[in-house]
Amino acid sequence: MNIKKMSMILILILIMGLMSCSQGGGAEELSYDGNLVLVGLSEPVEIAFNDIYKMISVSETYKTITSSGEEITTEVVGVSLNQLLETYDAKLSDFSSVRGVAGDGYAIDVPGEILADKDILLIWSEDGETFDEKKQPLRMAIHDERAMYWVSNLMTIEFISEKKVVIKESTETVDLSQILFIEAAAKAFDVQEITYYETEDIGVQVTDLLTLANPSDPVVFVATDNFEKTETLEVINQGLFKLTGDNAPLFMSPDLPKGMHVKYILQMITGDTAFVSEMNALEVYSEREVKNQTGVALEDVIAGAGLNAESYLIASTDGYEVEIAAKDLVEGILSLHEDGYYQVKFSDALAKNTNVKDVLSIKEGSGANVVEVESTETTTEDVLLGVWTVEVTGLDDGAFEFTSERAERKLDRVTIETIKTSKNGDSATEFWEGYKILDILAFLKVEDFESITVIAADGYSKEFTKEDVDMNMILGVVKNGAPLEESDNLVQLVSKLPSNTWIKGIVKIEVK
Amino acid sequence: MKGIHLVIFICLVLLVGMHTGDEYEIYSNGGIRIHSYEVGDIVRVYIKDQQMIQIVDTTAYHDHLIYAVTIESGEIRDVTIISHQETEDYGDYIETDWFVDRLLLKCNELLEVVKLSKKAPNQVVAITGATITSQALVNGINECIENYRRYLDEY
Repeated sequence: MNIKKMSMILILILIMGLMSCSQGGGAEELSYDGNLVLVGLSEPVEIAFNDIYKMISVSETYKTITSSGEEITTEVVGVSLNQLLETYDAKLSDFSSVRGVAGDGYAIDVPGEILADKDILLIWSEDGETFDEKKQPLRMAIHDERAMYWVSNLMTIEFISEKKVVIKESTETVDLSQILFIEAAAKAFDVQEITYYETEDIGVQVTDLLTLANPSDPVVFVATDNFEKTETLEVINQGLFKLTGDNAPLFMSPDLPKGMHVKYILQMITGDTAFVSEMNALEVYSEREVKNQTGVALEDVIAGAGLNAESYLIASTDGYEVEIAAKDLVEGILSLHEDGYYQVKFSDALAKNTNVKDVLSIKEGSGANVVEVESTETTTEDVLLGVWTVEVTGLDDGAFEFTSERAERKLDRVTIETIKTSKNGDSATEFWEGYKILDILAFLKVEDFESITVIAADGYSKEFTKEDVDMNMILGVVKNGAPLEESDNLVQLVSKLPSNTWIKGIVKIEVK
Repeated sequence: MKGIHLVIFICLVLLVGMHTGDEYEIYSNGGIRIHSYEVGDIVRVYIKDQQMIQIVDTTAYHDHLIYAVTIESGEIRDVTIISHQETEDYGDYIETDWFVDRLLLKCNELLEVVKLSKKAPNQVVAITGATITSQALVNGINECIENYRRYLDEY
């Protein structure tokens, strides 16, 4: 081999070495047929993937967070989308959101809040490895953002700008004025059966829930892990809230890519309304105990939704309302009742009638009907209930006259579903409200007993063993929503036992 | 010399021929292949007693989706996914038992893909987020049902 040939080989090796060491060059060895489609710019743009690979690239250390919360740091190589947009006289912060669409239909909107601060890299390599077939030709990468934004197999980028005007107008003109609790509100509508993967769940159409509000763009979701996502009403109207099972409440639609579903919703804010999940509120806000019941701080629920007023009108699904001063919220909790509904409950500092069962909404109050601390104000509900007295005997300290007023003030009224069987054998379901016998005995400090004998005004009596006296044995005062009105039967013993054991017009209970 | 070349050539042809087997035979359950029923996306049909086993090669969301459908006594008894290229965490749920169980229905009606919940016996709820894959699978099964009906009519 002569010197000339040797020199040529050395020069070639040197050139190759220099090329491999150079920074900022494109990935010229990569090749992928097809074009990246950019929609929403001044005119539709298509750029060959092979041309993107040849653009001046950047290498960065990026961090992402997986759906399970794991942080992954990776060395990425790609091109800056902001730099690419310069050619079209645009930048990411011009848009309210950017939607990355993968070849398999996966799509995700990167919200304006992220675009305002961060660039998107269109990458073709991670940790020195180019992508396999499934991730090719490009992947979106945003530093310190969730992995769901890192769309692989990227084929289209949609730049959405028209909503920005709406958002500005909306936020300037609409103030939040009410919280609607999703689980309670959904009861007013037909449930939708949903087969979600391998489970059977139920849900409700979002359009149904929105009839209770004055919705407007944007719609902002907040999940229990503080994940926030902005959507448009147009998208929201296509979906459902899955209320049971995994990820509930889950915003979903079979017509939307899975990447646009939102799981573990804490709240969805649109227009003047924050739709709040009671179930998830109990998971995230600080615990508080009121009257031996654990719930979450009511003021946290209200502040978390962004509602701010001098007083609040708290309403039940049955229309019962109570107005509470903002300063008294610290006495209250949102809690789950054992019968499966959510309730607002206040400490003894407030009158018992401030407790709201199956709470539906919390709205800005007018201040006109605020319940004062230690108030003895009565409600229509109270007035409608009959006045009765039941003497309880066999107590350690003798007898006690248990009155309707004391029952309503000191005990929770519960609802049970019973079956009433008539003499001819016909059965009918009845819903009874009343006070648990066990609660009454606990209130009267009865620690143990063998049986109770319940005696009616007409002298009829029946003994029940301790086993009979369960959580479903009550002194019933409201039947199928109507208070008992017959003067000789204002309080009746009902239970899940056969209805021929029920006793009307109770006047006395003997504890043994 | 020419004779030797000819012998070698014939031997090669025979050898190649011996190695060209039926790649789907393992799904045949020992049944007899009936070429005349191999139409459309149905690439193999085997009959064993009352059982009709059909191999479908169709296009789903990504590339080929190949599966075996066993019909017996008017019911879909089994669906076995042989190969697919569907996306992980989306269409690849077609291999799960819970989804295959949804397909084991009577053949008196063609199957219908629905998106949220089943309202009729012939309906199959699509995999959440993978309607196209589910539809492709059900389309192929419907071809198999029609083929099965044709077979019953003719025999």
